[in-house]
Amino acid sequence: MGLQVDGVTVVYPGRKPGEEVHALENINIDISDGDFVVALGASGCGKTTLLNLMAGFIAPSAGRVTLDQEVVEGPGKERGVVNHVVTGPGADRGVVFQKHALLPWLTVLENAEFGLKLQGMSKPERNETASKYLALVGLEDFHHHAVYQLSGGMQQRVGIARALTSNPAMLLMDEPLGALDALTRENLQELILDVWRETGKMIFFITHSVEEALFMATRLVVMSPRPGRITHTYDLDFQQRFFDCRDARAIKSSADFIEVREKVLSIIHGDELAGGGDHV
Amino acid sequence: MSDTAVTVPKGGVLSAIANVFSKGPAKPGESYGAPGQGSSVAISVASSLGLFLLWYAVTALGLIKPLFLPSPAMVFDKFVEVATEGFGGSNLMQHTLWSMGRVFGAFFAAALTAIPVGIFMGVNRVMRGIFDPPIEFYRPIPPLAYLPLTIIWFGIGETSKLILIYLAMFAPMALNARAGVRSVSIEQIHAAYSLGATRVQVILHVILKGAMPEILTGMRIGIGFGWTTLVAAEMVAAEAGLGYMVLNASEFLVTDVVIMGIIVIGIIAYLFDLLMRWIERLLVPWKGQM
Repeated sequence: MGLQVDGVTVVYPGRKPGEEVHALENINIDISDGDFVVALGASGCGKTTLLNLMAGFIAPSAGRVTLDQEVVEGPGKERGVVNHVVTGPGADRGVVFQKHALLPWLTVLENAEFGLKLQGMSKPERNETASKYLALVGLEDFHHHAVYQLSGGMQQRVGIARALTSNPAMLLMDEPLGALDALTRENLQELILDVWRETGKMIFFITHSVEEALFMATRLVVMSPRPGRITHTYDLDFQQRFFDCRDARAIKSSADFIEVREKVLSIIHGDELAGGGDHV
Repeated sequence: MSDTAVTVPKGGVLSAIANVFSKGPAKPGESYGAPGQGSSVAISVASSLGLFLLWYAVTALGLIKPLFLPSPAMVFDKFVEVATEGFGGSNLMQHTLWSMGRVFGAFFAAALTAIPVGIFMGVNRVMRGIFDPPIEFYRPIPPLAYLPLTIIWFGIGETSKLILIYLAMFAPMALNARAGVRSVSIEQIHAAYSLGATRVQVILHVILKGAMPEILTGMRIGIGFGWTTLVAAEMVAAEAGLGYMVLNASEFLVTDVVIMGIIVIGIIAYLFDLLMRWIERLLVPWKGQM
């Protein structure tokens, strides 16, 4: 059971005719119940392509993705997506590109229950379900607030509650904390871990931050660009230590945490020096 | 070494204008180097009053003959006269109602057709391929240039007038609706699909709502275009309307009616722009916020 990625390769046509870009090559991942899998890697290593495959937004060129033995063909509510937020007012000159995943014309509660409304659930029923998950992310007092008046961290809490209300088998999180300030980010890391333990969902989580990846993952996959592939896999249990002591700073500054961090950092820096990195 | 910079008295308009060249640090609440910051309301009021006073002064001093520029008092008297006794066969209220009927008739027809066309152009590449060339071709052409054609095709009655105004409004409304559809973020669309939405639900619940700010902007631009096209539409074979009134008055050199008509059209168009902005704030309070 769980989500399997079996020998997946994704090839895009390049800019020049006949040229091919190997975004992902021969990826194998097995996510089972209770797993918190984090993908880490330099820009252009195919992390987001991998998440889009799991979500069903793109199809693999070779190999297959299955959830509970069924081949993933297109998006579905059993795989909830939490996108990154970009906060702050958008430019109101010309066309406004809304770089966020919430729906600003709906209140916090209406956003959280949006999926249930689409599925035709009655209003009292969906109110009750959404309220439960809004309480889980600490937003029980903000039901009727406009989402665009909330801080970035609170907006992301709404995004998490919205994904949970449809009761998905797994959450796919694409750099959900990337745009937040350091303090809010640490608070939300703890919140997501608590939500994960409380609900038992499988989570696939993408991040740029080595510290965040090590702290949260039960399994860390380190990816390399050109072609996008998995180079290292680590089984970790720092999050279990957090559940025991509730002191994230102590864990992140402990000797063994720092040791793994430096090891992973040197792998990623090696990729950057070898021509990966942001210079695309 | 003497200071060669021009010295300006502190405060007042002169120093405000000289600030364009100032190199000092910004005051609290302003950001250094941001072009044109600060409120301009007081200056706008002063500029409007100044123009009015200039108009009053040159007519009161007799510098310009009333045939070319009648005094504000004469224009106001004419306003009262046309409002009560009428001009060119109708009184001011009738002229205004005729013009508003034409502009709003065309506006509703344009809203009912251009907005759906724009949305279809946004969500469907076949529709975009079909409608893009004709709209982009006729959009920059001044309505006066195709007025003769609308008369040949639709006669000199109300139909050709409505169609002329309708065409002027169609392009901005359709193109803004299309831009609105394109402004919806892929993150919002992906989120809806992964919550189990169907394609129709994504269009109804995400894309149409997300396009609302741009659709309303298109309606605001469209109604503005309607007022600017009004006089052209009422040039041929009209018997009432503000544009007709102004044209008719100019043929008989009744300059005070011409100026009065221009001011009335300007005020009405401005009031409807304010109304549309108010509706925007009411319907899409999130515009520019996220």
